[in-house]
Amino acid sequence: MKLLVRSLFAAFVLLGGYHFWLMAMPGAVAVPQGINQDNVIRMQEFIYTRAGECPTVILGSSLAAKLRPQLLPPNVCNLALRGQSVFEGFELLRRTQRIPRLILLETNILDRAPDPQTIEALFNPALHPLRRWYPGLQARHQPLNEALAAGLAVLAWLRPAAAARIQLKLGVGGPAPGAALPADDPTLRPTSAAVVAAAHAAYDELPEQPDFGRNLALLRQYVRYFTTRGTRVVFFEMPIDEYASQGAKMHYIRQQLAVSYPANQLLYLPRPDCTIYRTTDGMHLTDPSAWRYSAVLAREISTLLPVPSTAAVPIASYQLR
Amino acid sequence: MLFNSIEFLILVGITWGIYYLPAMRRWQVELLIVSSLAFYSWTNPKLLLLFLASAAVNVSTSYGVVHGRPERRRFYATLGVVVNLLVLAFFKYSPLLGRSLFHETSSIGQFLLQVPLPIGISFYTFEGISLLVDAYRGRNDPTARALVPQQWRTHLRNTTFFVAFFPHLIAGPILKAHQFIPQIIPKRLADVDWAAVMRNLLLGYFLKMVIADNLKEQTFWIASPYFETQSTAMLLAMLFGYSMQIFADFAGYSLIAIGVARMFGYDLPDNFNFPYISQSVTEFWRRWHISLSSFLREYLYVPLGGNRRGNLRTYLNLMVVMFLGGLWHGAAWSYAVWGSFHGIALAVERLAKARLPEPRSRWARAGAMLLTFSFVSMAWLLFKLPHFDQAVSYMQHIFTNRHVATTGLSFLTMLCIAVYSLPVLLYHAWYLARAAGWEISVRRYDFAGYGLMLFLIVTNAGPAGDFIYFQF
Repeated sequence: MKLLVRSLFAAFVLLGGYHFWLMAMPGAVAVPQGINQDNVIRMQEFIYTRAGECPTVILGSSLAAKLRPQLLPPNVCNLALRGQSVFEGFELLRRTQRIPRLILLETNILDRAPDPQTIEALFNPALHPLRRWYPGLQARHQPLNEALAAGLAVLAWLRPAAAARIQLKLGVGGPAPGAALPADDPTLRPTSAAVVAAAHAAYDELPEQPDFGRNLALLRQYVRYFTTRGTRVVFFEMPIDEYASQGAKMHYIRQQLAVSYPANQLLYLPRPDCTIYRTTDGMHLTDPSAWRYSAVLAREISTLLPVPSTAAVPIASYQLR
Repeated sequence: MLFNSIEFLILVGITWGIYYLPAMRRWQVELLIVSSLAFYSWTNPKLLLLFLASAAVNVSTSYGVVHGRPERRRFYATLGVVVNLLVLAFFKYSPLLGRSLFHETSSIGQFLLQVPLPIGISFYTFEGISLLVDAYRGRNDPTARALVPQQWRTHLRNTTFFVAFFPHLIAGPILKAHQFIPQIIPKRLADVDWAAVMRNLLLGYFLKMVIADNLKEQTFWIASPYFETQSTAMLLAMLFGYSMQIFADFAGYSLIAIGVARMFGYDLPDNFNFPYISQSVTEFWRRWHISLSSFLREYLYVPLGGNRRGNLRTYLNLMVVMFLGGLWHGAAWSYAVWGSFHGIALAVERLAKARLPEPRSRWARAGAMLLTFSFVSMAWLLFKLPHFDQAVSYMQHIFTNRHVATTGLSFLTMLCIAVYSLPVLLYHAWYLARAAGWEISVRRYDFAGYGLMLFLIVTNAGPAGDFIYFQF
């Protein structure tokens, strides 16, 4: 029993000390350890920090998760989740009772079914209120993440160029206004032909029924829920490999959306010219292409919803090559 | 119901809260049976029917073995073992047979592919077999006959409890009847060893929630064909990380099971004994999943003749046992290949042992340890990748992807793998520290270590996921 009491005391001392550490010196950058955690950090930041600051929300999959936050207006929350569907984002908005003015909805992966466990874990009746009260329970503030953020700060001091490259990936920094955006290396090829082939094969197939029908019905419910509350929902396609964008799957999704949502009801952003973008694996944009499409999307957003004067970066000032 | 779910904590809390009440002293076992059935049926109540039917077969046949007419005892034992094996074979291997022997579109093929895999079936059927074999072997021995009491109601209660006790029901440790049934007596709160309970639970939850669940994020890219895009360094790091993950996951589960069982006054056997310090595959199997390896040794290898019938037969027995042990893990040929690899390694070691000197120097022992760890880690690929050709392709890409650049994010992943693997390495180093006599000086401060583990369980747990061994 003595060991139990001593161990509990030690744990409480550590928890208390960590809480004060976080209040005094929280890591400047969120350093996710993996795909799942990246999603959780995005969602928890929205719930506990940014929910009131986002009149525009992007919902999508890992494709839209590649968008560079540095180029998007600061009041845009990107809730595109890697390995997930658009429905987790919709449900997150609904549960937090946030009604954005504009929802940009990525349509590439509409055939992916929702994963209710993701949302249930976020809104766990015991942990959800605790996370607000004790930020150390939020994924962003895991001790290893804080240690990595501290390590990055040290690296920025020792080797600024190396740190800047990592920060760029983590959504911090980027080309100065007026500078050219990074360009793709024309000689670069995807590392694995098999991965590209798998992507092509996936886009060559029609979405599975009746799952896709269920997804469309669910989409209708969510769109109705938000549009009746004043949200404008706009569909957009992320650029993917040109071959995949012409595959049976994308044709079918476009066709079904056009039936459910004629162009006069909801807005569709112009389809990107996939030939001018590069992907790493047939689906996901390379970093330079992601930068370039982010700039394009930012311009579209500014026409849909004027950027407030607090925007840190003038969107149109980058040179698109 | 996951051990790391709120539902499980509530179930354990309520059961434990009632268990030691004086009024419940006579009904402790019945209470644990009810809780165990609730635990088992939580996600799919229909599976309870199969479980109860399996238990009924074991209760009836084991009773017949000990108390039936002498000339029918062998029949009862055979019947019970065969029914257990048929249940296991039908529910576990139908999809494999459907894929291997029939066309997917044929009606038989479709039927076999749709047979569900009831959770924990590999464990509770083996425990049923253990009861039958123990009862048959000791049918004339009064101590062994106590496993199957004359009173039918007591036997029904004991046997149902033996197979159903929830800490070990889903993924072991696999209990042997002669180890567990004698423990079924009224329990007192004063007899609970709280320090042992705490050590097992904290270490178990730490290994599962902080190490295994976080490493699962880092080893995500061991998936075909996505691993093809990773550099050699990353492929090696992920392979190492998966070795750590599978240990932390399964050892964590076993420790939690042992800790929870101890809360109710029952001792479950240790399932792991620092397996990654093994200097040979033979030693590895004395340290890894001990309850399975000892089960296979006791109930399969020895009855096959063990090492008593000459060298050739010994090698064959080893191969057969490990092949079947591999198939026990899952209904895919890759598991059989995994088992066969281990069988070959055991046979080769046995052959070489007579001809090669024992490693005596520190460096030679370290080399043997590294070699064993490398072999075991490579073999784990067959657990992670469902097809043999994918595992081969992974190994090929370790050599061919040397030109692939390791990106900044890959370095981050490798750093995370190193950080999360460190406690597993330290855990194994603890074994060596004990051997060097440092235990007493370290134990004085062990509360700080347990406090740190609890802190990390609260703040640094990975995304909750199923235990890897649940699928078996």
